[in-house]
Order: sequence, then C-alpha cells, then structure tokens
Amino acid sequence: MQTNVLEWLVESSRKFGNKLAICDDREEMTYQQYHHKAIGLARAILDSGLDAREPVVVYLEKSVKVLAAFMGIAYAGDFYSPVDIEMPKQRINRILEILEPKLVITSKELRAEFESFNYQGDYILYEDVKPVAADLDVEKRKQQIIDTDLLYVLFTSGSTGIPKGVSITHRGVIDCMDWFVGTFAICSYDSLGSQAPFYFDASVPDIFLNLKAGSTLYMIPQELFAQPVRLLEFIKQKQINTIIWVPSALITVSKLKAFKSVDLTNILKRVIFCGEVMPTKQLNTWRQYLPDVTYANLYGPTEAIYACTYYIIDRLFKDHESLPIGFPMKNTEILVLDEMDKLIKEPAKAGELCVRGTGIAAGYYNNPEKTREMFVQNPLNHAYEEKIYRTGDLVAYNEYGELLYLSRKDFQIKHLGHRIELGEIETAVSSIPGITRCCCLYDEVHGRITLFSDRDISKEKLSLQLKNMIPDYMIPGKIIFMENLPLNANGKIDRMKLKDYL
Amino acid sequence: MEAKISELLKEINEEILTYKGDNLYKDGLIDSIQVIDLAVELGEVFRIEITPEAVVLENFANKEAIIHFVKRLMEEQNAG
Repeated sequence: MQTNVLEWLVESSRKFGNKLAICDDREEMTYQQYHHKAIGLARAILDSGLDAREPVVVYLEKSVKVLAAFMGIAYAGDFYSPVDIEMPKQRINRILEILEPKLVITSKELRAEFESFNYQGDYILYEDVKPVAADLDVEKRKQQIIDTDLLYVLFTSGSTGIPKGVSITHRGVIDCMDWFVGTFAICSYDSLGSQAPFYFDASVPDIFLNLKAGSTLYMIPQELFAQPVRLLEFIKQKQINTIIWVPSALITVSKLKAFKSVDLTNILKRVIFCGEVMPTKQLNTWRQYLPDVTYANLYGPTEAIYACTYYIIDRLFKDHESLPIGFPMKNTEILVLDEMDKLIKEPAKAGELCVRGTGIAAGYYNNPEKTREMFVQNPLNHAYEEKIYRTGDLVAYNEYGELLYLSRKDFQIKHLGHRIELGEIETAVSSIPGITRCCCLYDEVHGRITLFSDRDISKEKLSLQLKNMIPDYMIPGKIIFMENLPLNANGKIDRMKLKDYL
Repeated sequence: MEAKISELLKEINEEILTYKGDNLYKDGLIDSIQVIDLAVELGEVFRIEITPEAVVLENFANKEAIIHFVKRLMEEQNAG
C-alpha cells in the first residue's frame, strides 16, 4: 500500500539506478544520485532541528537541484513550497507571511537576496549538502508519512491580490499520477520535455510521472521557446517523446509552422496540454504536420492537483469549434451544478464545474475563510460530511456527453436579454485567420461586448467572419486592436488590466 | 523603415527602444509569444519571408539587431 510519493523514487532508484533521471543544461542525475541527494537533504533538514509536517521554502532557479530539494523535503516528512526567484519582493513577503516557514533551501548565490525578505529562519545551502546512500532517521521520517499529509503548497494569485497557498497531499498526487501513467501508458523508455516552471502546477506531471515511470526528464532551456526551430531540434536531439506544456508554448511552434524545418515524425508520441484554452486552429496545425501523435486536452485547477478531466483528441475539429475538456479522470467525479445547486445531466445547459474526490486540495494554507468559500459541503449529500471544490468555471455537456468549457463564472454576462459566455465568442474569434490571441469583456457602461484582438480587423469584416459561427447578439460591438495583449504572472491574458481600456 | 520598426517595438514595450543590452528575451522585455508575433508582423509589414529558422534570439537581441535583420532580408529577397 502506497502512503507517499517517495516510494516511486525508491523503486525507480532500485530498478533503474544508473539511468538518467533528470537533466538541465548544466547538470544531470541518475535515479540513484537523485535518491541519494534527496536523503542527504533530508538529513540536513533533520539536523536543522525542524519537525515533520512543516513548510520548507525552495528558492532556486529551475534546475535538477529544485527536484532533489523537493524530494529531500518530502523525505523529512515536511512539505515544499517553491518561490519564483523572479517574483516581486512584495509578493514573496506576502507568501512568507502566510507560510511562516522556519527553513529555506537556497544556494550560496541566492542567499543574500533571500535575506532581504521578511524572514528570520534557518538556511540550508544546496551546495553544502552531501549525498547520503541511506540514513535510519530519515527512513523513519519517511515511514511516518501518511497519505493525507501535505506534499506541497503552491501559491496562486487571488483576485484580491493576496496569494492563496493551495495545499496538496501525497494521496492527491498518487491518485492523479496513477491515472496519468495508466491512461497514457508512460514507461521507463519514455522521455519527457519539461516546459513549465516548478512553482506552477503545470509541472506536477513532469516531476511525478517521471519519478513513477522511471523515465527521463529534460528541462528545456527557457530561451528555446522563442526559437521554434531550435526548440524542435532540442526535442529531436534528446529524443523527447512526451511533452506536457501550456498551450502558449505549443502556439509558438505552430504559428510559424516550424515543423517544416524539423520533422518529429516517429519521435514525438504524446502532446498533452492544460492550463488554458488551446486554440483549435493551432492544434489543427500540429495535427496536420504530426498526425500520428496522441493529443490530449486536460482541464483542472491547481486545487485539483493538475487535472480532473481529460479528453484524448479522437476526431476532427473545425477551427471555430472548441475542444471538449472531456471526462472526469479516474477516482474523481465532476458535478455540474446549476444556480440552485441542482445537478445538470442534460446537454447544452451551463453550470458550475465542481470536483469531488481525493484529488482535491486540503484547502488554502492558513486561510480558513477562503477555504470555506471554495471547498464546500456537497449540496447533493445530506447524510455525512463531504467536501467538493467549486471551480467557478462554467461548463456544459455536449451531445456526446463530453464536458465543454464555456468560461469563468464571472465571465458569463447578460446582453440584450441573452445569457452569453464570453469564452464562446473568444473561441469563434480566434478561429479567424491572423488572430492568435483575443479576449472579450463586457462593457457595462456602454452595454456592449468589447473585443481585444491581436490583429487589426474592421467591424464589418469581423461580423462577416463570425456570422456563421455565433448568433448576431454575440458579435462584439467594439474592437480594440492590441498587438500584445497584457499577460499576468501565469502567462494568461490579464483581464483586470484590459478593463482599464474599456 | 527604422521608424516603423520602432513603432512596432514600442507597442510591445517602450523600454525596448532605449535598451542597451543584447538579449531582450532573457532580460524580460519581450516574451516568447511576442517574439513569434513580431516575426510574423515584420514579415507582413515589410513583405519579406521570415522562415522559422530565422527566428533565433540573435536576430532579436535588441532594436539594432532587429533593424539589421530586416534590412538584410529585404536586400537578399529583393536581389533574388
């Protein structure tokens, strides 16, 4: 019976000890080195006097070191919380206020910077820690972990500006990865190419799938994402066959059709995306050049680990059709609830997506009010306590019984008496040639839908193009051309900023 | 041409115009999608073909590099 994620590390180290586990552009580690470094770090944590079940901050740039630190912290029975080294000081201080950590793992180089934050606790400098093959005290700490203990806390930006620390248990990650490895048949022969930063939940499968499958994880240098041909050459050279990226990283490749220059046929096997809506037109470019790849659209908030629904692309979609988010993953139930909290089962009726299962977070760290607001009693269960997570996302079933993402609940508007999902307009608009990114907002003052588009297009031309895709009342009344739509810290379009332009 | 390029760069981020370094991307003044979009835009505005191979950070290192890059392509493609 598995009670913690470290059992994957122990097992992979036993089976594939000399195999390459994790690589960045400066350093690489075999499974055995990964394992021993983790034990060494756990030993250092024990020596610092830290108890089990305490937060430990990791303040390092993206590298194999971060992953060794994560596993070391888990080994000590504690939980990790990575902090982006580019993050503004004010936000880091807010996170430290919430987390109240007593220990941080950083490097000699970054220590001085961390000392400028509001933090008085201890430091472990990564370079000072020696790998350890086995340690009885560390082993004991690992044995004491139970699966409802926290593994990590990831911070997401709250709408009020106060970060929320999403608290994830070992059990949640075990569940999610069991499903993942099974569904996509990932094994030790596979190689993964990591794109997402480790402080972002999109990296969770990279870290743990790799650990569980005994595959190899290559961290792709960030600058390659602005150089599509070099990016594909990197994939080819490392023989990476599985990529789990955010859609914007996939778009940088498809937009210039870089596939013409580097053929990845028989190399790339799986392309999995999650984190934001993948424009169908861009996916179609990928499918045109690499038709034999398995493409999967995953959906899920940080509060549901990484994903709670998935859709393996199995039919053709026109550029203006949106991709389903599909079906709940194993051991998870999706409840679509209407405004009266009644269950929606029939197609084409919008409701809020709520998640039920062990894969939901244990709440927001040190924030009982916000936790109570989003993690609520299942309204369909009156007999015993059972929490569900309300995502605030609006979805509907289609004619095939697949879930479709519509928009954020806050983006549902009423215009000319019609209930409109702004996301539906965005999907239609982004299928127009030349438009890659767009965003719709409702201008309450003028009572019209305003479209922000990265291509200068006239109202007449837009109406003509949209006519066959969406009803007239959904066609934007005003267009604002903006070559570069502002993005927030997670690389998503910053709607708050756009509101200033209305 | 230089004025038009400055205009396009200003829309992305005004700081690019006065930037003195040699890696706009690494220094966070432009992101990956913006590099790609800029390449598409330059191709359309100046009627030049920008191949995916040409989208490398050396060609987008700073304002001068971008101007040089466009000039070179215009000369090559007009000659051809």
